[in-house]
Amino acid sequence: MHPADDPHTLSRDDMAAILAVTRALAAPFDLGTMLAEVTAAACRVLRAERSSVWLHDANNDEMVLEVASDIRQVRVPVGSGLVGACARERRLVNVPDCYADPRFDASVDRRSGFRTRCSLTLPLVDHEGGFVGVMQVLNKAQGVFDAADETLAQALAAQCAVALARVQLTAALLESEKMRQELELARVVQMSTLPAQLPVLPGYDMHATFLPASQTGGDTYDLALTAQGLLVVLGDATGHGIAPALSVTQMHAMLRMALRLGADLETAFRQVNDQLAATLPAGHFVTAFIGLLDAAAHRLRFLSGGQGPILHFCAAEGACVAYKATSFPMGAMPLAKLRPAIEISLAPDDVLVLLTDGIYEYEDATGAQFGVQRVEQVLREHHRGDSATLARHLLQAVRDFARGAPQDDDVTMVLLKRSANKGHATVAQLL
Amino acid sequence: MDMQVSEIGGNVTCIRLTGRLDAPGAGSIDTRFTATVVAQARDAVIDLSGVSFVASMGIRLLIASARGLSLKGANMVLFGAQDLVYTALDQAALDQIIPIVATESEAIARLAG
Repeated sequence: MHPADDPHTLSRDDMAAILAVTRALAAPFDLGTMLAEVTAAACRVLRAERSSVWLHDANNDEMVLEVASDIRQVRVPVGSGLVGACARERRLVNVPDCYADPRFDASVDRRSGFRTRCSLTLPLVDHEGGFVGVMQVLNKAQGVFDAADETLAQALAAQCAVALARVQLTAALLESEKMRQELELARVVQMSTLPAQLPVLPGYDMHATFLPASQTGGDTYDLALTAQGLLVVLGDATGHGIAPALSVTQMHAMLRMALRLGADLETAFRQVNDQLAATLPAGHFVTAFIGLLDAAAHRLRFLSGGQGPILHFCAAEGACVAYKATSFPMGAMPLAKLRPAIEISLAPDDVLVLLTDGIYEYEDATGAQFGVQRVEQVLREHHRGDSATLARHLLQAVRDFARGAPQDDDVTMVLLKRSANKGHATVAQLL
Repeated sequence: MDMQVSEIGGNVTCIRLTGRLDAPGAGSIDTRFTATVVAQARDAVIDLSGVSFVASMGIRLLIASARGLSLKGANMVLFGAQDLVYTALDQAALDQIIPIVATESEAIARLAG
């Protein structure tokens, strides 16, 4: 018995010990240090041989032993053993002879080689009433835990619970800040893949729009004059965060390099696909349209890895021809066989329309998608304007359709329109 | 997203998916789907008749699992896709990686053939 007349009142020494613990617990911001302080303090204040803190894993409804001097990472279901019983009932469990108590689980003793005689197990409840874990002290140095120990342990547990909640909140804030920084970095990387300005190609009018979602996606585009013709690219890497941004950066760099080294469309496509398949993590890939326009002949040849539909608006017919991807998403696996490139002829006022799924799959509040037909309708109504105006009409149509529904994915479009006038130049003349 | 696992003929895993195979849907079954399909390392047929929508994250899940399975010498076949879902898979040329057929019996036959 502690030297207090009333077992429910802390003695001066005990009070000093608890305050010392409070001060010690105010400092650490990482879980390991904080738990080490708590368990050491529990042993010291309660004169116990061992102490441990079990955290509640709400997802699995299990108690997880985070720290003890001899074993780590033990899990028990809520309701199992003395710790589980305390977690389920949310009240103190004082057992003077553990091996005589049917709730006691001796398997932890067997694993650690320790022999538990008596135990005091308390729920850790934070200041908002949230259950965060269980503290357990084992084997009082002399005798068993009494009513005064229970009072002392409860005071300690209250301090521990508040400190635990604070450390967990700090960890969550740090994680959220880390994620914010990663997203910011991903955005910078993603933006670096986009051309600073679009090339000028007489006889053609081109426009690109990139509207990133708040959670960065992996959209990209490219329009550039190369020795092989006007390079037209629209890509979308799977996933969110830094990984897709890096995937599209890789694709961009490899594609530009392959073309600079003189590769034709097929060789560049195969090389980039196979390199991505070898380097991207499992389950990551990039859907990409890669085309080369011969501006003198008004012929566009393209291959598409998983990117579709590809729309060719034929002005004379006032309708779209839709093409699907020529092969699976780039990087999903090496290409065993490459299907032939598709070649289309662009007549005056025809428009090549490349849109990522951020437009086709844009959803309104009911879950309905914008879809291909609405895109075609906008093209029929507004194809006579220049490509920038057409892009504005497309975006406005998406906004009208969405009626305030949030943008979940990057929205990217590349529009290439053959002008009605006859002026044209070869790419070689422009380079 | 709901996922029911059964066995056909003792040597084929059948997974029936119900719901939207978009980013949240794919995320909700990702680990279980991959663990069931790839870890068992045997042929699998995926029933998409209950899937109302598929987005890029759903396609990613199917490709990743098919690829993992293929590395272990087994195959995957998709069947029963509704029009909207079939169009999305077709637009991405997914059939070049994973066969897409109409019915369960065609899927089983495709594995056998």
